Amino acid sequence: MTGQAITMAATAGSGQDTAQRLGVLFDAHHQRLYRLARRLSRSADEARDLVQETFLRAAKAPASIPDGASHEEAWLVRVLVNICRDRWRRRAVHERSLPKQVAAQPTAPDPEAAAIARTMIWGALDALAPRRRAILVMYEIEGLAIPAIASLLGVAPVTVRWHLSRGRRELAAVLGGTWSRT
Amino acid sequence: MKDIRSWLREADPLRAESGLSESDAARIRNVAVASARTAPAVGLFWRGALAAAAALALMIAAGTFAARQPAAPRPATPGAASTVEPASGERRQLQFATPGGTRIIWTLDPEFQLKGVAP
Repeated sequence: MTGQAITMAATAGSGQDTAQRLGVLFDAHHQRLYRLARRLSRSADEARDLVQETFLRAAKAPASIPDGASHEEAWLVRVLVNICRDRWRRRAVHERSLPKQVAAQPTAPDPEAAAIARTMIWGALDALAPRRRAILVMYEIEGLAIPAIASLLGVAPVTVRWHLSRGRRELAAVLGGTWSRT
Repeated sequence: MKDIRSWLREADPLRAESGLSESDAARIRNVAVASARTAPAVGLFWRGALAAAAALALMIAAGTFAARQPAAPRPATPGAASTVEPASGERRQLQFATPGGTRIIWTLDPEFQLKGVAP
């Protein structure tokens, strides 16, 4: 076997291994990632796109994915939140360049009060920075404990508490004190 | 008055939607797995480039280190002598270099004939 053939065989072999590992990774984590992505995005389409982008990044850097289910999950969650952050920044720049009236336009009006409230809440969440939003979502909706969130995002528990507090305050500012603080 | 958790849970879009459908999951999985099959070639390229850069950096570092070292004095031994092989008809030379930098060059005459021995 020539040197080139050996290199090609090794490449094919390692590519196969990576593909296999990525398949296992996807099967284990895609639903959990989708749920988080959906709560961090404006639409189901955007959430699907986020999940795909996350696994594409995993495919490009398989060596950087740590071993062990919880470490894998934390790595994927961090990648997902980073992708959200990149998009959020791009969108913020884009929206700053639009005229004020256009940027402030509400989303499609819904006659039902519940739907209006939902739109309001989700619009307010949309204004939060992605990491803060992720922390609020994980704590308030998914019911994760602060140490678990800190471990998932690779930050200190005190940072999680700080983001929670700031996030609640920012939501309150946007929505205008329509709830009791807990 | 509701608390923030109740508001957020009521507004959760996943209350009204299902999770990722099987067909969407399969499509995303295929895209990611196909991408993983081609990714290692890029990885190998960068690994090779990194190894070459590391080797180059090592060589530069070794060269710099060697240049900063003071030259060790070399003993004057017969091994320090070198000869310059002459072309046909030219004179043979023997060169010696001392540690201080002095050079001794002996030029041997090819036509020299030893005719007698001194007493």
